[in-house]
Amino acid sequence: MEVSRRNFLKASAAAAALAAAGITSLDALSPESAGADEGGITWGKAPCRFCGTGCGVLVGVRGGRIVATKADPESPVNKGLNCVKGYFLAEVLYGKDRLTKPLIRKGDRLVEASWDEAMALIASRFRESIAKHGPDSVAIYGSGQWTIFEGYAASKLFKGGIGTNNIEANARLCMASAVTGFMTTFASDEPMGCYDDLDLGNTFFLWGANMAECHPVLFSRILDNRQNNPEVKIIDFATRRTRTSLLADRYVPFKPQTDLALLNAMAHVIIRDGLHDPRFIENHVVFKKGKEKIGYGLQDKFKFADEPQLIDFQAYREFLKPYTPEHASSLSGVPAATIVELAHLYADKNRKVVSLWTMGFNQHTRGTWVNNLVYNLHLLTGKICRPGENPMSLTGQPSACGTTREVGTFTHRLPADMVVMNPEHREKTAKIWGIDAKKIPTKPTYHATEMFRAFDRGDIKVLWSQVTNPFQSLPNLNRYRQGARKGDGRFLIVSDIYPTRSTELADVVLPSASWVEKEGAFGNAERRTQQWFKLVDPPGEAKNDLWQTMELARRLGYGSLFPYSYPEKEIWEEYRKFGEGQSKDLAPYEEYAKHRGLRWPVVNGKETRYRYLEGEDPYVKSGEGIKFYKNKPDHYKAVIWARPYEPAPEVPDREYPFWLCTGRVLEHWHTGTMTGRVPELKRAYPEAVCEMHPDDAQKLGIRHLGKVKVTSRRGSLVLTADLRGRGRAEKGNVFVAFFDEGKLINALCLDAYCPISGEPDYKKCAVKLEKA
Amino acid sequence: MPISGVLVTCHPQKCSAAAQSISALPGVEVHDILSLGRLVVVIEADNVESEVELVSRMHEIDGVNSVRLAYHNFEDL
Repeated sequence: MEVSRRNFLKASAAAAALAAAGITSLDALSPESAGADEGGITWGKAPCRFCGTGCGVLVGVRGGRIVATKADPESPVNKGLNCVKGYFLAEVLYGKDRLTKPLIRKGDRLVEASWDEAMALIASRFRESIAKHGPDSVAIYGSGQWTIFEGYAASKLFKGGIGTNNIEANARLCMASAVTGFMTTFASDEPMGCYDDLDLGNTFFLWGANMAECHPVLFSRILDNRQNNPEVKIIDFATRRTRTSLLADRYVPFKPQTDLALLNAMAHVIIRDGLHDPRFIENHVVFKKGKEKIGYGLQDKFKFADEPQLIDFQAYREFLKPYTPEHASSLSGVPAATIVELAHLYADKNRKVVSLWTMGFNQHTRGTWVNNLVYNLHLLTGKICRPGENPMSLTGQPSACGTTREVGTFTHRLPADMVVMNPEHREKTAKIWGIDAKKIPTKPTYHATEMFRAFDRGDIKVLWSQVTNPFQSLPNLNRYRQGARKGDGRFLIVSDIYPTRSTELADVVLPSASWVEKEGAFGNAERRTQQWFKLVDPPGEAKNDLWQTMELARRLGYGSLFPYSYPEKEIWEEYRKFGEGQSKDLAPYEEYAKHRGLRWPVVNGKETRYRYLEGEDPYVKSGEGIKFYKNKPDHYKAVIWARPYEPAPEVPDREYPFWLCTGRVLEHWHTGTMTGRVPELKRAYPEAVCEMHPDDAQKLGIRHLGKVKVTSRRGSLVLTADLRGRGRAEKGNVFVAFFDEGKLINALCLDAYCPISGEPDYKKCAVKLEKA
Repeated sequence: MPISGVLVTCHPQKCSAAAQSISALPGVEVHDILSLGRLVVVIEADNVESEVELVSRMHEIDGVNSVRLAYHNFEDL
């Protein structure tokens, strides 16, 4: 590279960082003049491919290849700054082992085939299975990385064409409890607040969320806020000491599962000490209780239906009586005085409180309950809906919200919060889809865990997995891996961009296009929908998953469901009819090309920052203040739930004395199929290690970087012990990341799930440790 | 050689010490020291691997709260 070009790029790099810091005048080279000398690079916008934050990226292309990326300075999410994963956005597309041709299984081998051969085989297996065993013998399993168009087409084909509710997504493993939490408390999915709360709040309670590693850009917004405002406090409630704990003002460790007791104890203190807001409660809240001792879904075909009953404030108060700070302290290990102090902090009239959580709450056998319980604190104190004081569930995938939740790619769902069980919802859907309403089955079939149980039993014969890696990520993995290869008519199709632990089990592997190799749209955790155009070609013969789904439809005779000449735009315009007038309004497609995303509801071209709040939400009329208008049966009020503490299904005992928690690390995203391709990432965090407490290690004679054998009732794995890593286990706990395809830790996990959400708990099962 | 521009945010009292440690890293230039403990840093390295390693090392420096990426060019890789 010429010196002048180098100097120019260095100046551009500094100018971009300065601009992100809000300074453009110090540097002679303004971003405008930088645009004048781009060296042949053209730029396009896209949301980041990785987590659910939805950071804006500018992608620089030259000669058909991505040669540069910038954090988008116009993006309100990340304001010109990306996290370290931004270094890998382009590299993950250019791994040497990208899948570029369809593969068909011939005995033990996967052999290259043409698209026509692969699709003809897939279509024939679908037809055969449907004819012999009915439509519920075929299924599709997607993810929160599906674009909105891909998820929509899959739902339309399976529910509206084939006539089965066998569609699920991996978001069931990560966000389902957040959904059922929102639905049971507010009767509408997704948050009332938005990321602006991170700048406007001054008291941040994190519940089992390692934001510094898993949502670094959002965590930086809180840190920036604290830098400017010394009164800002960050409280990290967690079962593991992390980089987040180090940067928080308080780290409050608690024993797994006892978040239920802690939240009830804080509600107890708030009411006992008269810190609640009676006027808010009177105007905006009803109280309910549901069934207790609700089980854990450990048996196949487990079914649960809650029976909510209205109760009054007195009954709720009675329910809270046993949850004294002392009782919660004995369960959780958090000192009673700390519980009282932090309950007072939640309720402090001078404090704007934001609660944030992700998998610690959602991957929980009582995930719906624990979501309900955190809303209780905000509803008791009236700290909700207004700027700077909201509860917010963060998401782990770029379109867990936009695709799986909003399009509704779950067995029971239809777009815009509608469900297959409701005849009016089926009618509306059928009308938009141009089909007979009888086509959509009236009963949900299987949620994710049950779908793979059904595949193992052979009730599902043909399963298509797109944009995800279930045979690495599922809990109690060995059962499902063995099930997939049982034969007897089972047929597995996997679409992906790299070989994975799922493609190795497949009968057909389809090579997919990724990210800016196709046109797409994602929806992030703050209701922001972001669109991008295709910027580069996919490698070899790789194709968009949207094309793949529509091609199967055509071959099965459902081509008329997809009569599009510009599929993305036409799907969008069809899809947005579902939310129109339902407070889930979306803008015309062109608007998203112009904006750095828009937060729904978008009414008359204007996005909504705060739902249910007068002056912000167009569905709240003048004089109404706050109105939870989606909950009509409860007279437009939100629900405070009496939900008890109940233990986890499997707790440490003499034989298996430790808690195992699995999760993510900064350098690797989910099952590592993209980040695992990048050599520098592999080196930074080469293999999954077992984080353990030094005292526990010493008792077992295990040294730092020595080998430890971790065994649960379901499986066993030898790992390197890490006593001094950036994450530190509390005594009696171990943590292992699940990205490593060579160390399938989720095989040790129990496939117990929340009976209401169907979401499994990856954070709690019992293991024993031995020196290896 | 890839070039990147990052914004480093430090604990304000530890900012100048952190800036010194950062500028001692090979290929790393502290371009500006801003208010509120912020540093504008330009990184030049042989490959993306080395860039990321430098960012990881910055993260471990006492007083550094966050390292965020604004610009990344790898056109001659």
